Amino acid sequence: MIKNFIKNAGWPRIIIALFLLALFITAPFVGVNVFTSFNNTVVRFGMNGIMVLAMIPMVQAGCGLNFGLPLGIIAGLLGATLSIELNTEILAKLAELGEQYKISWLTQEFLTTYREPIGFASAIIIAIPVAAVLGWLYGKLLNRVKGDEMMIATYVGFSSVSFMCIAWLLLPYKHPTMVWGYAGRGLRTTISVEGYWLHVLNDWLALKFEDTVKIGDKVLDVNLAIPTGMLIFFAIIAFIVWIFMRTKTGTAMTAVGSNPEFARASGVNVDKMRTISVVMSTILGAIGIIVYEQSFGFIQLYMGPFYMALPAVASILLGGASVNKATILNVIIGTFLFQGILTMTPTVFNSVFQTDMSEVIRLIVSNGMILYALTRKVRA
Amino acid sequence: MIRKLFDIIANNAVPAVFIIISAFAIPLSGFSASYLVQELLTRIGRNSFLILSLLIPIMAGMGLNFGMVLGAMAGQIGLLLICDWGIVGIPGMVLACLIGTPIAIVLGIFCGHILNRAKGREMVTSYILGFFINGVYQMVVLYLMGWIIPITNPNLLLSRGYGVRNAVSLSGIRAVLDNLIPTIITNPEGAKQFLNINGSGSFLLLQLPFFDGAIRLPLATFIIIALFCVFIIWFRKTKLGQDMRAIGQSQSVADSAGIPVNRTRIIAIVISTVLACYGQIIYLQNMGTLNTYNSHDQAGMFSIAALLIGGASVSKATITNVFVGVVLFHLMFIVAPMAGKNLIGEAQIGEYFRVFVSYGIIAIALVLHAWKRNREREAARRSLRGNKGGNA
Amino acid sequence: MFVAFLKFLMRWFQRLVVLAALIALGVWLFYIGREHQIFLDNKTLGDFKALEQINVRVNDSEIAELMQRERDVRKVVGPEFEIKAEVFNEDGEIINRIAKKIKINFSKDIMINLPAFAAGEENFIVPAPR
Repeated sequence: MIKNFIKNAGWPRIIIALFLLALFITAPFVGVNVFTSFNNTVVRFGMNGIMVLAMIPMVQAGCGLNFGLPLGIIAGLLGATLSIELNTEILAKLAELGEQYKISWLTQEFLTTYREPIGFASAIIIAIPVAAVLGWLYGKLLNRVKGDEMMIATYVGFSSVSFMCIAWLLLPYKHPTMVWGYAGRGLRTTISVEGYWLHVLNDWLALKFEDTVKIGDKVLDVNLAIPTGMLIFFAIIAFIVWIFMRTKTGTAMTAVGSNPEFARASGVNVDKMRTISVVMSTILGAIGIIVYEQSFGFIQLYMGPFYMALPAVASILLGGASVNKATILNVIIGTFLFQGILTMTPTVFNSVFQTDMSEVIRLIVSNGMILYALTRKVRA
Repeated sequence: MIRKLFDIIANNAVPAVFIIISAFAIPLSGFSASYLVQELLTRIGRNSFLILSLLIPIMAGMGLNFGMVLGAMAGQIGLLLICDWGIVGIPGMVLACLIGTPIAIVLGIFCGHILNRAKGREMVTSYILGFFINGVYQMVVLYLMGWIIPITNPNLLLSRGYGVRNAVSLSGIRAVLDNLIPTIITNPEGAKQFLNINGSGSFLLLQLPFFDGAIRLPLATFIIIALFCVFIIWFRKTKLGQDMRAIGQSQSVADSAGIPVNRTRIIAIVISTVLACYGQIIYLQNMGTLNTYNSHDQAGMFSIAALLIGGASVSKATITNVFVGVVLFHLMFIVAPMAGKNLIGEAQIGEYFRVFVSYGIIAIALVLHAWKRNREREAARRSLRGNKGGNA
Repeated sequence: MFVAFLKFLMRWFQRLVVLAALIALGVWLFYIGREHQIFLDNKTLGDFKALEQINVRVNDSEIAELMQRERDVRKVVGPEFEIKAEVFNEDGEIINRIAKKIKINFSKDIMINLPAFAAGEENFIVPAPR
């Protein structure tokens, strides 16, 4: 039985899981607060979870790992930046609508109290149609290049990020917190979301637990801070994906991924299913980056999104997915393991070796995982 | 007839577009012809070897070898060691190549094995492998060097005592190959001036009557590149080369013809990696500084972009593609920032533009190749089905 | 069978020879290509007093003019070099001229104690600083 488990899970995953466990165990002995690390891991889990979810539709539809996630991220960035740029206009418009249609609860007071969630929601609402359009075009492209999707996805991602670099410089943004002060034109590289929708999800229903517990004669300072809001949001989106994959369209998508000939013979439009999967993936990417930003506190433009597909790809592979099969369980396990390693390694290694090896470890672990998945024999 | 025209355009679209863009950008940038020629000659000498190393895996049907970064890293390790030992001049460069070779061979064998396990996905795999080995390289250079691997020269190490510095001066071997046979091309006027300033010393002086300005030519480097081209042409005709071409055409046919497919593929990658190692050393001796953690990053990217710009595809690349590509790519590289600045007022746009074009060109080339391949597959499938239609 | 084994052995032998040749090449390149720093030290060493002034030239380098207790350095590529020196007394007259060829072999940097060197002493090479 253990042998089966090892065979299914694969040695690299087991090694990494044990490595993470070892880090957690050594942490208290080297002066690292286990609870802080745990809190950080949970927060990072929430931040990245949705972007990892974005991998599922395309993998299931046989389009491979979505290295073109930056495309969705760009849609999200547009949504985020526009939500700040047009913040006052949006609020004014909503107040106007409230008066026009006599909606009782849509008062000025309401708008002021709920300014932050409205900003957050507006970012998502703007991003989704942009992501849908970009995803649709991207999907049409991928349909023409069946078999080489992953490589092309990578370069489409890179090209669009570089293209947007030019766009961020030229687009007519005017908001003072976002634009370079000196020239008055062109967006800054990092834009703070403080005052707009910082920690909107994290702080909603957040669970904080601080206590001092006595175990035998040792005193333990328990300190848990869980960003419940973000986790609930993740759960909702994951649930939506889960339901979708069980609808008729969802199952058709999976059929296309596992056996395109059979699906075609059953009357399923293969190309349409693939396009839908790409659109879904792009939209999830857009939502994912906005959730990431509200926790991180900054919008990163220009070359920020450049390499962002790799952690998401590595996470889902770490969770047990393969190039043509991925489940939500893979997402949860993988994101937790990956972010755990990312959080624990610098802190523990710093205390032990007095040096920050996290960057190098991250490179080796994430790319090693992807390599492992790419070299598995694919079921014909 | 129309199809044929379409094919010709599709095959040469990329270089054509580039020539058009350059035709606009050159006058915009305001650079003089002699400056451009000088820069181009330098860059051709610097980069051609790296790009040429990509030809053999394409011949063997393994696509674009993003794993050439592995060879670049091997070369850099060789350079770090000779810097530490203080070996200068041509002996220094040759020793770096000598040290880099076994490292490149080992990395190449590793890469080849991994690619054999990921048949059909070679390009993504070699791409990710590049990052993975980059992590290992950083581990070695940032932590093991100066600690387990003895490095004594304090100019190389970080202040904490171990780990190599970010920028290492290669003054010992700077321009060593380029200046091996110093050559100047100029007009008779300039020749007189030059001789007045640099009275003695040996160099070749080529006099062209109409030439404006004086241009240094890295003759020795060019000779080495020419030798390499001859090597490639000869290699194509050897049994090993023929085997690789057969594998490139069709793996199954090659296999039934008795060719050891896996082993030959590994050999192709090993050769490419070792050549990339030498290419990177040539590149760095021209640059004069080694950015320990960055120099190899762009090696793969720019070489592949240049090759594709020259009209090569994922399955077919010739020596002409290499040289056309290096000229066009670097022309744009030099010209774009200034053109962007003069056109829109921001040099940054030019910078981003050339990054965008580099990636975009690879994306377009990959798409065109995959599209063509899919069309051929569909056509074959349709003919098998006896024209019963596509979808049902 | 025996023939096959011999062939196998021959192939490995050839490979060993090539490998040995490459290593020898590497060692030779190391030997002729190494850049050494030659430190010139005009300080008192034991019984040899520091000289008033000594002008030293290493291969074709710039002349190093060293007063008492001064130190200078010159770079040299390769295993051996030629050193030419002129010693001056207080009145500025040349009292000694020396020319010598020195072999460094595999060390990296060396320091020459000039008073000892000028006096014709055998052991004028002193461990280099750093």
